[in-house]
Amino acid sequence: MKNNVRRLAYVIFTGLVAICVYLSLIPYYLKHVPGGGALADPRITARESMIKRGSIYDRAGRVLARSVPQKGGGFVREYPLGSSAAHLIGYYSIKAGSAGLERTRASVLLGLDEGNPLYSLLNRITGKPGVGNDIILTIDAGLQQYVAGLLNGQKGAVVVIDPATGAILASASYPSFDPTRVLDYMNKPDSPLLDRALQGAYPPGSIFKIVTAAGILKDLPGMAGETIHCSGELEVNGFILKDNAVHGNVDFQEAFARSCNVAFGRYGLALGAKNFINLAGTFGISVRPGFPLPLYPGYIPRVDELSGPALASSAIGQGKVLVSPLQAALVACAVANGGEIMKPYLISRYSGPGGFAKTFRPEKWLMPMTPAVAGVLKDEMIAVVKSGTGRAAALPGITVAGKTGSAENPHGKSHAWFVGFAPAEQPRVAVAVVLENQGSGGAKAAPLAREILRRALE
Amino acid sequence: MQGRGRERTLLFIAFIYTLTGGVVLYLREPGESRMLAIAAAVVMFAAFMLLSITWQIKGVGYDQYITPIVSFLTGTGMVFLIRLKPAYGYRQLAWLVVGIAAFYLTTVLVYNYRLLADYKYVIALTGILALLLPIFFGIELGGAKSWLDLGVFNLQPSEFVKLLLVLFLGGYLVENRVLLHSGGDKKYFLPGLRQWGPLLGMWLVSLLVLVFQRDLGTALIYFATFLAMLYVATSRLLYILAGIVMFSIGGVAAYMAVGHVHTRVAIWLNPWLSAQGAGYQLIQSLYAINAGGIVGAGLDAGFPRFIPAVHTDFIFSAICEETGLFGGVGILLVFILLVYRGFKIALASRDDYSEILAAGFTALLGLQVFIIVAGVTKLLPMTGITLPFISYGGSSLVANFILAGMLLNISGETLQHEK
Amino acid sequence: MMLEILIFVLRTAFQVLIYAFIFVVIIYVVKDLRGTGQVVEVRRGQKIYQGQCYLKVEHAPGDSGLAGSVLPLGAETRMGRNPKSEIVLSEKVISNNHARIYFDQGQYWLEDLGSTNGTFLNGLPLSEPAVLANGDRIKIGDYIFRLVRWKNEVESDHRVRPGAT
Repeated sequence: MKNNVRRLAYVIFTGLVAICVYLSLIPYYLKHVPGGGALADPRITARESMIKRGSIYDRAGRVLARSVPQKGGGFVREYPLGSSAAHLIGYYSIKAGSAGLERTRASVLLGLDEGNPLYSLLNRITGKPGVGNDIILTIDAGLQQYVAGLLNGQKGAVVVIDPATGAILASASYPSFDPTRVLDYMNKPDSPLLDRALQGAYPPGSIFKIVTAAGILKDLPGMAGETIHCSGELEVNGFILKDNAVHGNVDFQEAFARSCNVAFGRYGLALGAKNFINLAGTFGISVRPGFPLPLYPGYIPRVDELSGPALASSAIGQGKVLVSPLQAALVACAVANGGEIMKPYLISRYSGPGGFAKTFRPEKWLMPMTPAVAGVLKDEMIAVVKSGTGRAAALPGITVAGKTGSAENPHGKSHAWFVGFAPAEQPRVAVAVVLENQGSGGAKAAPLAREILRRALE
Repeated sequence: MQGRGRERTLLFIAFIYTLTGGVVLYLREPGESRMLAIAAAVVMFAAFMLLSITWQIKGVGYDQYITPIVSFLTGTGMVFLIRLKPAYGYRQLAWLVVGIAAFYLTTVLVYNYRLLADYKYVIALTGILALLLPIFFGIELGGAKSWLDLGVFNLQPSEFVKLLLVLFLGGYLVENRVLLHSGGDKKYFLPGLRQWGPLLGMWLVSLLVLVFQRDLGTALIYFATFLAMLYVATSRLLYILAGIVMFSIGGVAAYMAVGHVHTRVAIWLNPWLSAQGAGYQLIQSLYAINAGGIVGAGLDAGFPRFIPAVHTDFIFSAICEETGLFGGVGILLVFILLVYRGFKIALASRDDYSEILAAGFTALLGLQVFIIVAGVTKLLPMTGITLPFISYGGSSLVANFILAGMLLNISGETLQHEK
Repeated sequence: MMLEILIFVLRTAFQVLIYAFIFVVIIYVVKDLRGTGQVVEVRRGQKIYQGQCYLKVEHAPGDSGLAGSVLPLGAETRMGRNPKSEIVLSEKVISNNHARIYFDQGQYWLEDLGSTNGTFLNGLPLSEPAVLANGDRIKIGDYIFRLVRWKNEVESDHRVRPGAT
């Protein structure tokens, strides 16, 4: 009987100790539970009335979000850029809750996290409510507004990145919303609250040929020298992969410049499924960088799903492959930055009372190709804009490199894609543009990209 | 004569602790009601010191840790109750005085607790009557119909029935443990009524509570305590498994038939689906714990009143919000120490009846703590029982003081037995 | 300002006191477990700690000098004429390895080790190991021991007086 008592005691102790451990996991659970946003924590609101939420600034110090005192106490958020940067900044209000950076960095903005620890302790000791921290972004507010303006009326997204640092200069998504009237946009068609730039899942179409081409140059350089005959269609195990034209005999350069599906389907088959999946991974497809906002990680099929026809269509960016516009921009960055992808970052600095400052530095992230391969691809991409499908992206006096794509999808006309960078000699800006169901990338996306590059290089 | 210095040292620390909490409350918002925590600290310190000295003079060998731990937990309860609902402070203080009196009387009147073994069927009958009363004359509070309105105050008989349950089972199991123990071996497939009768009986009583009083937590406590004691007496896992299966069947039936139970389970599975409605309370509780972080917002500096009914079922979340993980785990550790002492008393007791009583009372206490804390943290469905010694509620406080008194009786029984 | 600082200090103290309480309880409990708790009494050089179990020698042959002394019990206590025994009993009727008391499953057990003249528990000869309870009398030869599991009984229990057999 004594042993039974002992065993019973162990059971109850285990239960109570388990609760102690479980208690410490609750914050983690709340952070990751699906549907966790269904109810805003009224504590944040209660604190909000005491603590002034920090402001959000662009790289030059232009205000993107700030708190202004309200009549009768408390503060209300103001967003000078309105809908232009709504997806990045997000919103905060008592009624609608929060999203974007206002949500993911709320504890920083409210000074509950980060900040000068001595200063926070002093506030705690003296019983004063804390003061929020400011967040400084890598965004260029002018460019952001310009891009959002260009995109206005066309469903799609644009991401502009500095390839040398990974700093995001602009990221826009249309349709957008007014961050002060969020409730009006909930459950509307075309999901205006969705950030297509970071969370959109699009078939990449021909822009993915950059990835396939990098794989060929790296693993099968001999094949790049061969000539392939394009009869307008490629038969793989009884399935037919159609091309948009009959390109005749093409070599690697021509195949890239004229976006020949037959040639690239062959390249994909030559690389093999496993190799192809690894290759996509080195470009960051289905890899999650640490980022302050939720990202769509992209999708690449598993080896067993990549039979011959699926592999050939994946190699030309069709099939089941999906990427976000941010990832498309990072592919361009890889070529622009000598083969290396810098980790994309949005927040350049926190700054707070008591002299608190925390700066985020550019970080190296992935190295999908050697500088030599990047050099060859850069020349190919220059050729695309000079004489290939991307002529509409050309700028006078500046060498633009790019690749177009027209991604077939089940929702209607093709998505128009363009990824590129400029100036090609010393790239300062990389861009990805996707316009939903707008048809040809060369005709629709490339001109938009040209204007964005022109504005960004001013 | 045995020294009780440790008891008094610990009582002093508990006093300083409660006093500190009371002073913080008073300084934050000077006022009469906020003085009550200080009053509670003084009342408890004076009363328990007096008891400690009395026991020392009488030379009884009571456990030296139980009283200070009870004082510490009750002090925590008073501080947080007055911080959360000052209006209830007077009542709770009055109940505290009643509780201390009940505690003392238990040690004086029931020192011959062994005699209770002879009255086990009277106890069982009393218990069942007490459970039936609210079904016919009871009032409904917080979804459960388990209160008796006695004019001046409400009484929850099921709190006291818990104690009667342990007393009855202790007597019954000790008398029949040989029979119960051997029963399954020989007639594995044809168990007799005598072996399975108590299991069925308890199952029915629990279901009665569940269905008629709509009190999921109490039903769970009854049945779990019963299984714990049955295991101690018979060490037969078969009974326990059968019991769990039977309770699950009863639980599923209740889930289907009783809307109240159904709602509780639905909230547990996904509170976010009804975030603005039924799930609101649990989500607020989780937010409160989350807001507390490691060190907490500080006493009287958080927002625990966003949780509905925070002063009863959800008081643990308020403690976590204001004292953080640090404080929440601390309070749980104090409970663990109390349970440890309880089982220690069971292990040191020299006869089966004392042992099973001590183990039963301790299991009752430990299970209550587990079930309610698991409930407010979404580890288990929320069942609406009190956190012993801490939550607001007179019946619960007094019953738990009697329980503590019984543990003292058992720990000191040798001497009194021989007098 | 000063008030706020005072409140902060008190708040912190409130939280720290939770652990101060736990800490002190644990210190006491650990002392109990290690048997290094309060020394209840010292008799004949043998320290008896609170909570420790021991044998009280109720009766012993006059020349042994053991009468009235207390003998703490360990995990195993052997009794007999063998000088390696924990309790050496020098009497002719006692076997070399006469009996032992051991701790198992939370209880003290008395076992006769096949002695010639037997071990008696509460007046009855012992045939198999038996659990010892507080107040049990063990008779080996002319020695009579009483088991004490609770300190306070030494003073208060008057059922068995030294020398009364």
